[in-house]
Amino acid sequence: MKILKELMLVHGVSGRESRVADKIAEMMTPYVDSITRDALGNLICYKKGSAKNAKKLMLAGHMDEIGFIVTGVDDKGYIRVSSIGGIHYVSAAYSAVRFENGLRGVIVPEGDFNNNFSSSKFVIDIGAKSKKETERRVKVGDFASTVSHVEHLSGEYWAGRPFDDRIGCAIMVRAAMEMKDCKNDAYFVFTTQEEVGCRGSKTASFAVAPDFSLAFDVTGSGDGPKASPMAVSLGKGAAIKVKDSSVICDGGFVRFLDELAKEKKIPAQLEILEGGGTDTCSMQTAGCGSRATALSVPTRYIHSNNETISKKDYDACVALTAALLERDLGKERF
Amino acid sequence: MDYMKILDELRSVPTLSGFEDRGAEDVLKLLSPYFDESRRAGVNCLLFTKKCGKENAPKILIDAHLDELGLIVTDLKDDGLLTVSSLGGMDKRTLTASVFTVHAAKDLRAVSVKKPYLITKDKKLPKYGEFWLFTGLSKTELTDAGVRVGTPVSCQRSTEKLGEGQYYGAYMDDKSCAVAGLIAVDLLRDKPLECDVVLMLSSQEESFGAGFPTGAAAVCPDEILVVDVDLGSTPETDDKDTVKMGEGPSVTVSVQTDRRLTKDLLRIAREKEIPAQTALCVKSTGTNASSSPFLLGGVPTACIGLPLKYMHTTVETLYEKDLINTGKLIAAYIEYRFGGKGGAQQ
Repeated sequence: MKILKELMLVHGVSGRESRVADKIAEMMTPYVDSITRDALGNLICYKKGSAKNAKKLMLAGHMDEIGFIVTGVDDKGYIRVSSIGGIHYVSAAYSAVRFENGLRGVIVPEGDFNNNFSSSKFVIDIGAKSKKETERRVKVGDFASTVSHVEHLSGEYWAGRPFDDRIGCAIMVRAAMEMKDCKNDAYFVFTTQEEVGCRGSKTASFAVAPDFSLAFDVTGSGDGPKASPMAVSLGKGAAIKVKDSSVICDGGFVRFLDELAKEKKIPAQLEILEGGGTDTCSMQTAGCGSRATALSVPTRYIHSNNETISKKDYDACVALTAALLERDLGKERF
Repeated sequence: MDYMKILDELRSVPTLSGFEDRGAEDVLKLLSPYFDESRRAGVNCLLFTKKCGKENAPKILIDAHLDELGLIVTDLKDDGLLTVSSLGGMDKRTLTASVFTVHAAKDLRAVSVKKPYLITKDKKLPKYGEFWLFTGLSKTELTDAGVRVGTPVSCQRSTEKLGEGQYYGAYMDDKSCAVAGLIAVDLLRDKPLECDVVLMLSSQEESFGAGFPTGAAAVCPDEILVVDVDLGSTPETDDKDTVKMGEGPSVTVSVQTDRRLTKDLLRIAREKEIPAQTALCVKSTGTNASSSPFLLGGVPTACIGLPLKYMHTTVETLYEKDLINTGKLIAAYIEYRFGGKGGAQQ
């Protein structure tokens, strides 16, 4: 959990992920051959494979988190904002927020709280006495997010934000640490701007042109209170994606991961996410296409301040990813 | 070549959206004899090439999508009922009281069931999650048969002939257009050409479109003819939304299609007396042609429509003569553009 906690506490709203990238680059340096960044800010860590004619395997987890961008300051000194990504407004209302430079504030709905949720009804109060004072400390285009935190509930359960998707980044970092022999040419790509339309992964996968791709992200679960029916539960293992609302995953690769999990006795479940997309789609359609799927961590209350996960699922994703990296994908049948 | 028989054989191979690979071998076996080369490419696409034998010859790509609409298993309930979600977007009116096939380790027959309307008085369209597939098997038997989250499900594939040379059945969309492409290649069999003709059966047109751009990237064509079914008029529809049945293929005028190609197609149809009609889809063709402007720096693309009634149901209906004329138009264009001894290309 240490790696995950460290990553979660770094500020990185979509479009402003460089702090997260710095942290991950520091963690990955001992385990890979090269680290580069592209124009969109994607962090691409490359590890040469030991197999002859090694296949290109691209792993992608997004560094960005949802948040807010300053659009202006009103006469009383309250900050007007626009949303970056799909904000959970019920959760955001009356939360503490943090700007990139560390400045604190609270985000509140204007007037009485009613069911009229949109960013135009929300302002940030930084405790300034006047418009002038606010303008000295905040500029149009500054980024903010609700304050990150991690709580241990009990047993295997943890709550906090943003598990989406620092947990995906953490899985990749841990897999790089734990793999014994990397058979495939592995590209650990930490992507940007997923929450605003999978933008980083589009350019990164164009550059990498992978043979196989695996995204890492959170997914929903069917075991929350009155949750929409979904055959995914916390604690039942790594969720191997079959389909979401952006992609139908490669049947052969899904089967391969499912069988690999059985062979290594790693708990796994199959996932269909009915609302929500991932970086998987960009990687599948890059160039002449790649065999793509994703490993997801079942999560309750996604995009809220208290996303909840099971450590068991997180560990299962790491184990399955390390096992995948150790398999020569050029020699497998799909 | 018995075109209707090939269409039947092609329709009998399940190639559900995103699961085209399951039928790939059968389709390759079926169509390879008519081409010089066949292979897989991109995300689950199949490429069939008729070569002209000349080096660095231009390539014209005929695209018809291989994938079909269906359902996908989202959960196995304790009583053996299966919950499903959509794979593509079937006409919701066909979702209940229908026969389906669950494609597990072996194919299982299933019927779709809902609470009796006599009790609920519910007259609304069914929603995913509120109807189930019933196979008569227990949860254990289903698991043993290989039914899992993500198992694809398809509609009944039976077909019949109606009056006036019309045929109905599921999955005319878009396998009839694959046959139209085949007809074109058959008609060009003995013609000297200055180009390679590639018939691409692309994946995922009905869902996320992953096939067309990746398959086309493997070909790098000079021109593309996207062939897809077009909404045919029925007594209750408006002429401006539909094309006429039995009056030949449509050629789509849209910002997404190439002016010259579109004009040439309509002119050649007139000159060769092949029945054809114009369809207007100003903004989007709603077909694979929509992603062409962004493909490989832009490839001139036309969109040809085969009129089809009752689209996305199990009784999709077409005229045999429309199918033949679609093939004829494609062949006539290719011969005009890339015919031996020059062609319009020089």
